[in-house]
Amino acid sequence: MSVGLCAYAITREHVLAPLSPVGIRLITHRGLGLVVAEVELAPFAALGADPARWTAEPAEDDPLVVLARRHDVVVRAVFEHQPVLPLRFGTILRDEQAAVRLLANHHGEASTWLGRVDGHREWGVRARAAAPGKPAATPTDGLSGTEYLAMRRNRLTAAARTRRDAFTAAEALHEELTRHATECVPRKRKTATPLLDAAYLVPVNAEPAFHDETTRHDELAVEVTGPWPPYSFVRLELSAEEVAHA
Amino acid sequence: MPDEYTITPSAEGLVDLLDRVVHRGAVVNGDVIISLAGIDLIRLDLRLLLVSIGAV
Repeated sequence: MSVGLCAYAITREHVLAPLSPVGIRLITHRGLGLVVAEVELAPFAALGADPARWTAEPAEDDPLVVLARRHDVVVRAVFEHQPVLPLRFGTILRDEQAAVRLLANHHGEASTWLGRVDGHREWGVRARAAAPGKPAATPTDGLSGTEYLAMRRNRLTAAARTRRDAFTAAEALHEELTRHATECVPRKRKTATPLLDAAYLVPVNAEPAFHDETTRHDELAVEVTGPWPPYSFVRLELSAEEVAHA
Repeated sequence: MPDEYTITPSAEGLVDLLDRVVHRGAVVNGDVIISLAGIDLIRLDLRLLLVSIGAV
């Protein structure tokens, strides 16, 4: 066979938004939907043809990157409107029956997981020591009294912070970020060794406070990526096979 | 604070993207035609695991 059903994510059953990516549809089962599209298998199979070329840094026109970007675009398009449980890239099912079996086999845990991430977005935070000579933080003019007090609710004074070294600052940043996050996972990057490298699952209404924390440590150069769909917080293994139910 | 942080197509951005899309997400076993896994993008050392069920 030359085509398959590429599966991108599990979501709640709903009517897809009018401007969804072309070819995307939902296969539904008892209130859940699997986001799928018919795809040619050849581009996916071709990814394995020449692993040796993947020693260079990835570029936008690499075949893997092109397919991975499409995967992300599809997941994000649904994520705009509903919580999503992203599937791993390159998950291609045989047919609609397999899709329904996937949803049926994991209906409970998928529903629970979607309820947990509903209203959240993933953010990546990396922190390194700031370059030497970085000027101290300027006073935050223009804040109301309430806003000022909110920023100062941390028990350490700004003066104490400037005396800390970057390592301690990174620990403090992580602690602060986790107060605004429902969940956090470290990201295992082995090339560079940042002081902090983690993904955070943040309620949308906590995002201003979360991002505020990332700007408050002069000892650190902080890089934030996102928002992402909750890729890093899925720990489910799924099966699309026939499973005998008790 | 911007509403969204634009993911720029830099090499750093691509590693962030690929690490999430290829390394994360739910793994599906069983009646799957192709499954791509085990891609270690940290070392940019690509190992593809092709699980083929039926004709590809």
